[in-house]
Amino acid sequence: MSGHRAGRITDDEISELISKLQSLLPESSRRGAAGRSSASKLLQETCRYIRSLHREVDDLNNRLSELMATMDGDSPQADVIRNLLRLL
Amino acid sequence: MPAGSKKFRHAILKNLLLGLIRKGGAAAAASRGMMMSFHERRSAIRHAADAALATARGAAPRWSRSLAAELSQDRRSGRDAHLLRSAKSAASSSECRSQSKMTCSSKRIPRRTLRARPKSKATAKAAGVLARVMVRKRARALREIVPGGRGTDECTLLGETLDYAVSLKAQIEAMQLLLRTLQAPKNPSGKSSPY
Repeated sequence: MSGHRAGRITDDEISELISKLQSLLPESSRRGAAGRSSASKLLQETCRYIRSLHREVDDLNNRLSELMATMDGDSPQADVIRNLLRLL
Repeated sequence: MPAGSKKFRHAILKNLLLGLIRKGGAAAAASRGMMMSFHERRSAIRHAADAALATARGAAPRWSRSLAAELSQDRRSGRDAHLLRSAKSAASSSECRSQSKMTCSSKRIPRRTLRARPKSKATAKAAGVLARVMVRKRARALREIVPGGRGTDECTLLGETLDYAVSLKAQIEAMQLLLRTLQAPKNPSGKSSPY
């Protein structure tokens, strides 16, 4: 999904994007057509959702940092990491 | 590689693991047994996670290129900068194109049309205008939190946001996988899959 389109995006494509966004959101209020007021709501919910995803990344980051007390190559965590890499 | 697939999630995880190993090596070489502070580790891991995400997603979406550009400006990135350089060069070439077209369209119009409207037609039209203003306000907020969001028109922003949200979810899942693997008790018969 790139923004390289030279021309305009069609109405159908906009509707598709909006419905995809709606299905992404956890507690989306799924109204029928996206009227103007619900478009604003949708964007607001989307903002909230992305902010919550950022918070989740931060939290995971903290927990990983606690677990990886040392990032040396000979730590037990390094072993785990190398083993996991072999599976991928 | 489309966002949202298992392959994508694993690509992020793989990049993340490689990045962590690299950083661990660099840290050990630099500080000779002195442990990184929690803050430094957190910064390094976050950097590795974001670099892993941008690299796995590639240069197609604008947010990915923008994120890669941000990360490669960080001096601590070391070898990650090499990985991200190709993504970054794609960013700078398309940056000029979009900025000249897009930014002028978002600000000028509302004031003039508001004054031109006769007051008697008030309610329905005013509601429409207000809704448009609200959408613009929300779009502005969205631009702040999606990388590279500034300088995109609202339609592009929608698609970018969708792609970014799905990709963030994959990044989260990759980090959760790593976390669970690190937390799992040692299994002598080999890795019990945390998938």
